[in-house]
Order: sequence, then C-alpha cells, then structure tokens
Amino acid sequence: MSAYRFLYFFKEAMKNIRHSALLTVVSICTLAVSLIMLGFFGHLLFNAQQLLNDVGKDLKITVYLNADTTVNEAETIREAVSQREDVESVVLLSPKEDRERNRELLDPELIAGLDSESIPGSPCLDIVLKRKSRVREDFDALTTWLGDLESVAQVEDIHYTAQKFRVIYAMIDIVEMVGFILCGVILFASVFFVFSTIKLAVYARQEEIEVLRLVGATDGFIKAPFYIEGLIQGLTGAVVALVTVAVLHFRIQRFIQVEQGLNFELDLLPPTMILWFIVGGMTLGLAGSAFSVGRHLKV
Amino acid sequence: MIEMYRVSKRYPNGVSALSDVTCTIDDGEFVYLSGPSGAGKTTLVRLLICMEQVSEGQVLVKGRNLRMLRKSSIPYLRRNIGVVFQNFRLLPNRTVFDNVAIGLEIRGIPANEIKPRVLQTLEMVGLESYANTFPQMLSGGEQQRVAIARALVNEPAILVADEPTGNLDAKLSVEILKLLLEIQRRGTTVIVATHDEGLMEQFPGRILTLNGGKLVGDTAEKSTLSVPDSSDEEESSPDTEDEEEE
Repeated sequence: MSAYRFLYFFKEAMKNIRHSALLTVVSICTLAVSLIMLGFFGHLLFNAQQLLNDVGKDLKITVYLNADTTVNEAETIREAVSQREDVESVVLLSPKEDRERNRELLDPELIAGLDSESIPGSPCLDIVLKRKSRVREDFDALTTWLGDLESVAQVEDIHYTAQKFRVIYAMIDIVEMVGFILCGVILFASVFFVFSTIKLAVYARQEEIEVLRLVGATDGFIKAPFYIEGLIQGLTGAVVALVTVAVLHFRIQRFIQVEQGLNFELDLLPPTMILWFIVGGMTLGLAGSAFSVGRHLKV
Repeated sequence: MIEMYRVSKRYPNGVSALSDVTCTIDDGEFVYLSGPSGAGKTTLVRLLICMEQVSEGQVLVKGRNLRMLRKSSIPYLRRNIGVVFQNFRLLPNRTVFDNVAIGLEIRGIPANEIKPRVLQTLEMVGLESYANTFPQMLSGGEQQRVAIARALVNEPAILVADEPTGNLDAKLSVEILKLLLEIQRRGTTVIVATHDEGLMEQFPGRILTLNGGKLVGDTAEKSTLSVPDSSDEEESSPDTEDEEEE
C-alpha cells in the first residue's frame, strides 16, 4: 500500500471517527478497561502466585506420633520419610526433646510455676523440605503424601505450615474464575462498542460506498478505512490503558514506599505488558471492525 | 463492443424484468434505451455494470463475458464503464473537485496527477470554475454535468446514463444531451436510458426499444441524423421515473 493511499484511508477513518465522536470515546474507554482488566489484573494475579511460590520455598512439617510408638517404629517411619526426594532432613525428637522445644516457644510468664510434665511433649518427626520454588502442583503432591502419612497407625497428627497456601491458592482460583468471567463480559462489550461505532460509520457512508462501488472501487478499498478506524480505536484504547496503569503504578509504588515504609520495587509495566496492551488493543479494535464490516457492509 | 445474447433477468420474487433480449452495440455508438416505466431499461443498465446478475443468456462487454466474471474483477470492469444516474448521486459533503476525483483516487493515482486530470474533465463539461463548490450550490443541470465528469474522468470506453435528464427541465436536458453526444464524438460508446421522446427526436440515434422486458424495436441507425422509428413502442407517462423492481 502506497503512503498516499494509506493517507487517504487514514483521512477517511478520521472522518468516520469525527462523525460518531461520542460512541468512539465510549468504545475506546471500554477497550482500555478490558485491556487493563486482562493485562494488569492478570499480571497482579500472576505476581501473587509467584510470591506464594517463593514463600513456599521454606517448608517444615511436624509429624506427631502416638505416645506408645516404639523407637524402632519411629525410626522406620523416619527412614521412609527421608527416602523422599524433596526431603532435606528428618529429625526424630523424643517426648522430652519436644517438651523442651515447646517450653522455649511458650511465654515464660505463662508457664511459670507449672510442673514440667504439664507442658505437652510427644515423639515427633521434624521434616525440613528441600529449598525450592513450589508451584500449585507441588503443594497438591505434598498434600497427597501427607494424607498417606497420616493414615499410618503410629501417626497421631501432622502440622503442616503450607496448608494455608492451599487456602490461598483456592482463593486465587476463585478470583481468577470471577476475573475470567468479568474479563469475558468486558471483552465482549469492548468488541461490541467497536462493532457499533463501525456500524454507524458504515451507515453514515452508505451513499458514498454506493458511489465508490459504481466507480470501480475494490472491496479492499471500501473496507480499509473501517479497519483503520478499528485499529485507531484499539491503539487509542491501548494508550489510555498504558497511561492508566502507569499512573496506578506510581500511586501504588508511592503508597508502598512512602506510606508503608517498605523497600519493595513494583514492576507493573514490564515490556511484555506494554506489548500486550498494544497488540491486544489493535486486535480487539480490528476484530470489532471486521465483525461489523462483515455484517453491515455488503460490497 | 457490447453483445447480448438471449438475455433474461428474473428477480427472486418471480418478476421477469428482461426476457430474451439479443442485440449488439458497436464501439463508439450512441444508443438510446427507450421504453415505458418498468420496460426493463434500468435492469439492462444494471446488468451492464454488474449490479445485477443475468439469469439466462450472455452479456459480453469488450469480449468479457459478465456471467463468467469473478466478483473481484467487477470493480475493474466498472472502471471502464462510466455511469450517470437520474439523481446524480453526488456526495454532498465533497466539493465538485473531490466528487470527480473519486474515480482516480480509487485507482491509487497520485494527487499531483489527479489535479490536472480532474480540472481537464471539469473543463470538458464546462464546470472548471466550480471545482471548489459543493454540489448543493449547483443547478440540476450542473450537478448532472459533475456526475458526467465523474463518469468520464477514468476515460471509460463506455458511458451508461440512466435517465440522465429525468430530473431536469427541457433546456437543461438539451444541454446534457449535447454533452453526451460530444462525448460520443470523442470515441466513447454512449448508452442513454430514457423515455423522453422529444429528446430522441431532437438528437437522433439508434434506439433500442424495450417493453415488458422484451426488446421490441431496434432502429439500428447508429447515430445517424434520421428520426427514430418508435411506432411499436407503447407510450408511457413521460414524467414518471423508471421504477424497476430491484
């Protein structure tokens, strides 16, 4: 396409935009919102998962055994546990050692005057897992294994600090599902608004389209301004989304560093996000205009 | 050359607009399509510019069979056939210059070439001084001349005018006919659909008479100055527009 021809299409597209300015603004805003929803919140959720995975690096498990468990039985269990690939170390504590540890953990004022036998103590296994970043599947596998371990006759209880992670993952699942539905609705709305503005443009230019057909304009020549209009809407929506996220980024950064006094660097606008906004915006705009042109412009 | 062999056109609602029309129009001819309202004149014009598909028979334009023409080739055919309508079909929000330039813009002709060609065409129709005027500010005759300029700017081999004087008074109609004859004298095949017998008498040419979708007369006089024979033509109300079913 020559520069002259592109300029012609661009001018025609701008003419269409001026003709239905209000709807174009609504369309751009909806596009921007859907881009922010999909990109920004998607990114936030991803970061939250990453954070959880990192926190899940240091995991400890305490397996409490029945009081009547013999040393041999406890050793057998310890041996079996230590065979697991992701186990760093397993230490067998006697009731006395466990009691001693609990005494150190409890507030001295609280246990002042108490008989040492009153402080609980059971034979237990302190398991330290290997330090590594864990994803959801690792937690699932861990939960299954601990379930099996709990069914061993000598095992009384298992304290598993990572159980909370399962709850958080479940919450993330819910947020993701709601977000997915919401994004779908907004995505549909944004394409619909582009669809509507292009429809208006097609109707407004009906007479001109008819004349263009009669003088021998090709399908591509007639449709091109509408596609460019969709692209312009998509790009503008992307720019609006980028500016919004940039403003949010600085506000949140300021809140974290100044008001909360945390030395934490946010990364809300990585290059992939900028690329997503631009490509996503243009794709949405083009999709809306392509649907509309296909539906309303019979050449 | 335009060749039509046993051409019929039936619309989906069952109405037969053309039936078994066979004729040939040579290059450079001036031909009237005559007949009352509903005779099939507009349908024939629409078949020539591929706005309608032939139901039966063949239409050949410059050796190209329109039935065999791919959809993507239709625009290129239309660039060789200028079309003028009764209601001008000018774009009100564009100047006279821009209205005429459309035909060149669609071909991707650069702006520096468009300007002289448009001005030259406007000069030919006597409107060079109205280049920057908007169509609504012109008289009906002037608007029709702009439409003719738009049809001519691509230098088509064929010019088809569907009731070009239908919205004009007698004086302006004569002006337009003179212009169309001038265009024919320059070598363009001109086909004028009209039911204005007065004009056909004043500016004689070959007359193809249609009635009820059938070709009922062909003077085959090929732009001679004799008065056409229209004895077999059923007269229609001269002030009614050709209302083809579409």
